[in-house]
Amino acid sequence: MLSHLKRFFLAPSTGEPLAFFRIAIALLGLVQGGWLAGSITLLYGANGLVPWSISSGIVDPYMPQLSWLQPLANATGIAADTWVYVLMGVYLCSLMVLLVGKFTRYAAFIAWALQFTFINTGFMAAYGVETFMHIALFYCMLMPVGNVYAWDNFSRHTKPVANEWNTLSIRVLQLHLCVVYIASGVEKAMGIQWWNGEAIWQTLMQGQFARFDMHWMASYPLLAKVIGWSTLLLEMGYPFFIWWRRTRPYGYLAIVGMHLGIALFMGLQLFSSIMIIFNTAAFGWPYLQRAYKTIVQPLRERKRLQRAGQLATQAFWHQYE
Amino acid sequence: MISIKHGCWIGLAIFHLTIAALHAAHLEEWTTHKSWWLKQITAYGDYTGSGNIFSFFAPHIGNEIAVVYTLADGREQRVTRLESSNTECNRRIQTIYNFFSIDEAQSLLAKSCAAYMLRENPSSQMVRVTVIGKRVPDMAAYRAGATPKWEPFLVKDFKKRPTTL
Repeated sequence: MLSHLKRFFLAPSTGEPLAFFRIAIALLGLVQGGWLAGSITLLYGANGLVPWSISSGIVDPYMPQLSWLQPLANATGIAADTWVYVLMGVYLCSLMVLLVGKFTRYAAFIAWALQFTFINTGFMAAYGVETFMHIALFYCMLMPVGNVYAWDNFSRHTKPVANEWNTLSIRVLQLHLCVVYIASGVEKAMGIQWWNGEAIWQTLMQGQFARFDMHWMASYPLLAKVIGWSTLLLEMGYPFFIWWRRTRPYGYLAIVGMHLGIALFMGLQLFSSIMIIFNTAAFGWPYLQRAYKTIVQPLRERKRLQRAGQLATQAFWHQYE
Repeated sequence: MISIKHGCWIGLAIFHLTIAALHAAHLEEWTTHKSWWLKQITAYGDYTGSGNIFSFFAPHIGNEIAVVYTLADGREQRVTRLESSNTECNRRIQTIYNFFSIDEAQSLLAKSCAAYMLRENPSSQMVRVTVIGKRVPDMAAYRAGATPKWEPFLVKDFKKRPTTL
């Protein structure tokens, strides 16, 4: 039993998937921050759409929130919203530092604390992407995400070292994803709309999600039903097909395809991206690496050979001119 | 053999994932009384991200909600909506509006939306907040000729308080 547990959690592996996780999460956070930069006061400001006076009354007092800045604003005479901008700036800087892998744990801690403060204040405006960003930044703080491809440990000649902490971290990511998908699938399955296809139809008819004119789907209810059933199958079956090595690559591709579909048809690009990042770090990295080795690397080799051939030809003609 | 250090970290990982699973199974709704232990577990979940439920679009899809503001300054009035060219910002505004589907939240949310609009439009003296929901017929009804309908379900007027001298 103990040996099984040890093999499952502690068999050494390299930290590349975790480095990918760090870099991709930091990049996504920067994109999200940049995207919302012009709307900070509306979403998080002291007198935003949901003002601090309301959010602080709803959020538990032990949760960090932007209303804690009010005494500082009063003491300094600087507007509270200016401090919100300062905090957003610090958050984006910490993500930059996390991205390059310098002072990784400190950067992750600052990013996690500030993101938590922002989502507590703007909890009414938050959706799935904030939920998973919070989870990801907490993991970046604790997991060895800065051991590879990081400024702190950068060297062109050292290869990633395998250790047990990488495996333990990946296992936590994997198991957490299984919890997420099975819970999400079961909750969907409890409503009739996912079984009869109405969930798909209703979603695509909403202006907030619709990217294309999908009225035609009413004439093909079977299609809506098949998409609904596929979603249930993918989410509730996730722990099974993603864990079995034979079905894993197909399962990974299917789940990535589902999230790409969500991004394309519902416009939830940030949410889809973060789910693809989680899935790739937890399960998909070996396939991504294999695809790189079999497709991209030979192409680059061929390009290099062509270039070497051109240089050799030039040198030859130059010598005999 | 597993060392003590390894054992501790595995134990922590299992604890964390158990908390995540319990929250995903709506732990907080199991009992009406919130014991001291439940409060600590909730706090742990909030801080670590293991305290989430994952009921995205479940168990059913709610109606789309929109808010129309009618601003008046005593001489004329205009109808407007709060949206920009920034799609990600609009999505968040929409997420806030979705709270109008909760009866208890309606009054407070309408008040805060009105206050925001009056601050953003200082010349306006009054604002009417009209919350409308989009009812999409099911596929069979749509095929039979029914069409999606926007229906107002909350209308509230707010006036600027006269400033005291």
